[in-house]
Amino acid sequence: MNTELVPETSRHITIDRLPTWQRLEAEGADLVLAAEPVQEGHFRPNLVVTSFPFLGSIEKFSTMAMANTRARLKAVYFIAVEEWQAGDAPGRRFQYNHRLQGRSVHCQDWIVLTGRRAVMVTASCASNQLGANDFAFAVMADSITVKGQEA
Amino acid sequence: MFEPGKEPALQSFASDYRGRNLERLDGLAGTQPYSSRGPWLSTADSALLEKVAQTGRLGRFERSGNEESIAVLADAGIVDAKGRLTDQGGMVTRPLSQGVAALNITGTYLGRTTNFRAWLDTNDAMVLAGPSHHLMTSAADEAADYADGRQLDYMSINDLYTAMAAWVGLSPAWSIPVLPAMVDLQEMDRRWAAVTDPPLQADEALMQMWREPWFVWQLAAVPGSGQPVTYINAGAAGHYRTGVLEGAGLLEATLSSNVYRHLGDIVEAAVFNRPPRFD
Repeated sequence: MNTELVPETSRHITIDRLPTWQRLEAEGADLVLAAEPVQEGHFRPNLVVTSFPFLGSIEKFSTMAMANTRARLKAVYFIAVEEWQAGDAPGRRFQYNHRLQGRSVHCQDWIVLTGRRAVMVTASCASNQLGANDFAFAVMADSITVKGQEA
Repeated sequence: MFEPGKEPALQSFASDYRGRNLERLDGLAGTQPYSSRGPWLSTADSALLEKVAQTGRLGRFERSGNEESIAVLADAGIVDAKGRLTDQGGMVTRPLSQGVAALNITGTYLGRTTNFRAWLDTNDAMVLAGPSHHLMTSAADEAADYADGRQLDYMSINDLYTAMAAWVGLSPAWSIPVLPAMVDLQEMDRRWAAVTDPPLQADEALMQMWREPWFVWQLAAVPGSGQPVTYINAGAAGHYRTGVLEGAGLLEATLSSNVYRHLGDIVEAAVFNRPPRFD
């Protein structure tokens, strides 16, 4: 069985995906990854990378990101906010649930500031599939490297 | 609170402790209280609900003297005017009559108790929820009004995780480890019931945490075997696993992320009849 992670590159970060995951067309995002296709009616775990200009502190970005998430998504329930970093770049890890297409979806957002930009990596799965995806999400998030800051 | 152009409010104790600016998180709990559109049932209404769920109908003796409860359940679409379970009532109560497991959370705040019970089927749950963390800690008068009440709800297991998290007030927090992490059991018991002075040897983190409002919640499977799992929701100070360890009271700072996973694991252990993964 192939367990080697596959490196993927987007505009501002590199991230490794599980070999069973695939890269999809990234409409409006920097990178979209998804788990194997699922049965109809089931939620396909996915990971989306976006970025935008941001000048400011991580605590300001964090507060803004939460307000933005609440405004953009339905029935958001925040579970956790933790300090996180990619190399030396300061960041946060958010966890929250929201409603999408009539079901509860669990999201983990890793955000990192790269000096002039904020990069956001959002992994999603159905709330009752967190146990099945937690490790995969963690492994992929662990591999996030800001370009130009590789060790 | 996000205000463009301004730096956000900081959580001062946590920021000092970690030596970095940490944004305030304690305002979040109040923005996401447990919320249900289900009817409030009294103890008597709930007892009748459980009875009619098992038998499908109420006999003449059960109906007489219970007219009020029958009216409440009829209003909720659970029974018809004659006290017979409707199709909707059958669906809603199926986790109770034919489910695989049940979970109970008992919450206490300053000597008052509340509880949340979920009967679980493989896909769905029936919930009877008393006043939540939010009502108990920030709307005491309202909570008192509903002291005898339980809100009836029916949801997929997929939705139960958020419901339980909201009910116990599990929200983001910077949980700071406290010293000592073991306190005298009697001091701990007294603190559950009333705001007391922190233990003499308390470090700053323990003093902070001790002064926050404590909503203590215990989760157990019904029928239960083994110890219930107990956490203290200490408001701005975050979440602490507690229990009795070698005759003393434990206070173990826990990431809200891990509390959430612990909740989820207990739900899944119950639904799938497997051992829990966490202690």
